[in-house]
Amino acid sequence: MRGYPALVSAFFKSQVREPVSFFFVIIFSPAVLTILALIFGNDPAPQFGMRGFVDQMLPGFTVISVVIVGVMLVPQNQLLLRASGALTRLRITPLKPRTYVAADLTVQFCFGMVGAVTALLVGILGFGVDWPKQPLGVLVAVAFGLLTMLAIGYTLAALYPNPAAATGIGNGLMVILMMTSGAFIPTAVLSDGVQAAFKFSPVYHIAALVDASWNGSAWPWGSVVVLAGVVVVFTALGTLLFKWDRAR
Amino acid sequence: MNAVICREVHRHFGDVRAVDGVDLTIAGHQIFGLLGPNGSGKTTLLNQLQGLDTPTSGTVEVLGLDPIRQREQLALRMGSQLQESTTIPRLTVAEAVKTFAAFYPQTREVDPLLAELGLTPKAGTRIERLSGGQRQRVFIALALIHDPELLFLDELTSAVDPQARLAIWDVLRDLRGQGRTIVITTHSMAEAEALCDRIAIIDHGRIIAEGTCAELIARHASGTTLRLQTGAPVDPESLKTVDGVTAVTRDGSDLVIVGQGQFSPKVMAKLAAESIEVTSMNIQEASLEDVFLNLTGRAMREGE
Repeated sequence: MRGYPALVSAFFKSQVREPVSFFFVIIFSPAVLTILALIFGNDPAPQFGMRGFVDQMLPGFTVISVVIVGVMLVPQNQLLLRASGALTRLRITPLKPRTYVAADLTVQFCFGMVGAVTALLVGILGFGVDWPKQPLGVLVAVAFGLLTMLAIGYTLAALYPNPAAATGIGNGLMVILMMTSGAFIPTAVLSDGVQAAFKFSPVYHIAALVDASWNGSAWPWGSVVVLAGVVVVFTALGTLLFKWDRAR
Repeated sequence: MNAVICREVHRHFGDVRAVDGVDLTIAGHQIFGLLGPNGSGKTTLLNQLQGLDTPTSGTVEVLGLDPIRQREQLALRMGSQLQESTTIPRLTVAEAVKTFAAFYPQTREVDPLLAELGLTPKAGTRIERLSGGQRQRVFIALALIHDPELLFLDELTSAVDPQARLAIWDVLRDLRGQGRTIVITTHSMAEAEALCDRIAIIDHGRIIAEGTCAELIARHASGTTLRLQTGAPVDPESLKTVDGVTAVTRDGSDLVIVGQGQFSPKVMAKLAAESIEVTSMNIQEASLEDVFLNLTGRAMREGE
């Protein structure tokens, strides 16, 4: 893994100096949470089982940064590096592909975790939401979710034809996945049919794990199996489809 | 030892023969130029040499290694500057060079390298904020950080101003003086003439001539070039009958007449006899431009 620490450092600096992606990963989720909380407050409401709006939504909001990292940040970052020829430049060094991938994933993982934890802290410290019953469990669930989305992100990076497509398709995909997280629409108020459809979204299952740890209950095994399957399948696809260069 | 050996290398993209049967040997310790118009196959050939692409057929050997199968070994001994000079965005000069240094087991020290290339004052500046010439010097630094014996430089000076170009040529001459082998691609005749010890002219994926600049001119373009601009249109074919004229072409608004001996006064006399005014005239000794013209029947800048 020669070059791994240097590459992590370089990717980190590159990322924090890019204001748009920095905003979306670190600021977007807490900002939206703050705006919605200021609009709806956090008073107990019957539709949320006598819990407040933020109490109900916060577990889902922790997942938003995870979604942004997987669907937008990872593919866009890689496509831009590939389109500019930067990946080709790395390829003619002795750098091993696995070192590049490990460094990239390390930085994206850290950004996703920071975004999720920031949203959590804003909810807890800013709006008085109770601490999760299993804080470590919540963090592990977010980390598991990030691994899932990173695997999906690497596959998308190989499939998107260019950075513009990554932005366009990624935005659509991000909205759909966010909707299924429970952050914007409480899943409890949805019909059985819509809830069944949501179960096809990996983000629904990530939110389910976060929610379970938040409430102190065991992880739903069905969600664990779905996410583990997604990680395995998309890691294989991402590895198989990974490319340094634009198509010739 | 030869730095590069290509044997019957082909690279086809569908029906397009980007590299079409190249046989080439590049000896060490020299600047070797691959000269050709845009789209002639220079970069595609260079990609085969650097292990960035696999030939459709034929064999490539660089420093005695197979660029595809022995990619990592070759990467330790070869430095590259790609046509699209770019790296991880938003890094400063020093950060980029230090990052690349970390990929190699043995490297030069960063600060003296930056000083050698005149980049010390820019070490803390982001690469995208540098001028074209400064950026290219950064990419030379990235190519040199591991002290390679062989450098591949693709269109290094195509996007830099003339002053920066001269400065980069000095850097390359210094590198040759240190005993390195440098392979450059260029579509600039002036660059090839000023810099290269040997030149291969590539056109439509084929090497159509190879040698020193003097050899190429002696072999393919001995003679004189008369460039004219006239007040009225001239049929190039009509001038080909003038004694001593060997080729007549148009290069933009110029009429380019190549010939041997005292053909110029005869051309002027013929134009005067036809009452065609000559508004501008320039006589040049043979150059690489003439070599290309004679070999392909068109000027380099006409491209494909």
